[in-house]
Amino acid sequence: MFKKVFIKIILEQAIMFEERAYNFYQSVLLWTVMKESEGLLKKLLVAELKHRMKLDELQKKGDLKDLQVTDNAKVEGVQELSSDWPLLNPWSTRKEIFQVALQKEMIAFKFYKQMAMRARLKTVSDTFTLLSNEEAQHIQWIQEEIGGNER
Amino acid sequence: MRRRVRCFYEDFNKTEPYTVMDAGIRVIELKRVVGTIDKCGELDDRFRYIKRRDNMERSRRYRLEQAAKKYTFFPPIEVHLYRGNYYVVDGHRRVATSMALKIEFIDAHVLEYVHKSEGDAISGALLKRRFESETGLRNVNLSEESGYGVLLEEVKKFHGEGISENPKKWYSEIFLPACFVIRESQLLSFYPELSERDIFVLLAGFYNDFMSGIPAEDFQAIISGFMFAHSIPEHRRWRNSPFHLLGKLINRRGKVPVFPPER
Repeated sequence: MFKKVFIKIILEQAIMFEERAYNFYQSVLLWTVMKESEGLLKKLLVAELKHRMKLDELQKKGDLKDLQVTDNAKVEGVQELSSDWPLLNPWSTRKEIFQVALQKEMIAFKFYKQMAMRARLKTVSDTFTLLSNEEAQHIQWIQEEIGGNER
Repeated sequence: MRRRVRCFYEDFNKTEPYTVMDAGIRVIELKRVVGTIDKCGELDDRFRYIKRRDNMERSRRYRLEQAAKKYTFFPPIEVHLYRGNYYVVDGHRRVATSMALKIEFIDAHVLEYVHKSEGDAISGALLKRRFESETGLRNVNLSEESGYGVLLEEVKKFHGEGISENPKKWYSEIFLPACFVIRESQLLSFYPELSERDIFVLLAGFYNDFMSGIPAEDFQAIISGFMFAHSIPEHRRWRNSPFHLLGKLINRRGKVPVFPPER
């Protein structure tokens, strides 16, 4: 019972992370400096909302009994998941903004990958694998965007 | 003094150009039957005669009530539809009897009156007809008729090209279960003027614009995503309950700041 509650709270933390990421992309979308990357930001915005829905579904309907989480300290990534988003100022450059996004996508990737490895149940493991793969794709998109800017 | 039924020609401006569309026979909500065409001033708002209280009238109403109680189906009444309200042409007694028996729906042959100056109303009425003729679903009843276009897109996405193969499959497998979830959700209280069917259209419209269609997730998660994206407050058990304290223990740093930072 305790384990189940604990996992639900972890999932809620992950949902909150996705919400913050959504809010982050939504707010930087309005910045003039980000106009050139509007397409990518919208793609990321959609992806974050989709992730939120997937996690929400998993939290409400998923069979979480077989997710092996025994100790708070063992869930690496949860602490990073709920850590502060670095503050940006109106003079932040596109690169700085994408660096923040990249850092956060990496945290999410690590967290989902770890959760996928811990889940015994195939459906739960598949969901986390899908989420981690998508985060990896986001990392790639952002890296390409940063690379494109530098060139 | 008893209130009287509304009069069609007092509500409808006949001097303004208008068009009439035959909506065919359909099941209509009795609570939306509010007026009459040719018995203005003679009926109260329950469609009973105000002055005529002879034995013949009573006996006619009694016979109708007995027929209704024996599950005899009344033939469809004739009504005009104007701005969402129905005005009775033929069948006042059937309406009165149904109202007395607290029946909610009645069969009716509907003629819809729309002013030509009301472009949205005409396009809405045409969309409704197109939806009904292509899907065969006649009683979805949206309060905003432009929503039928969104619904038609949803049906097409579900069935692909073969809409005519099984038009009611989408209705029973997607639409009705979704409406049930919406009815049970917190969302309905934020849109008191909309029905769950209208809210389904709202959700479908949002997800079509945002991510080219309603995602395949559980509908509760879809509603939750919509609420989050529109900043509608949602009660989240694992965030707002005392269990959240446990979350704070895990997250030893305490409160998570939002972006942009709160001032």
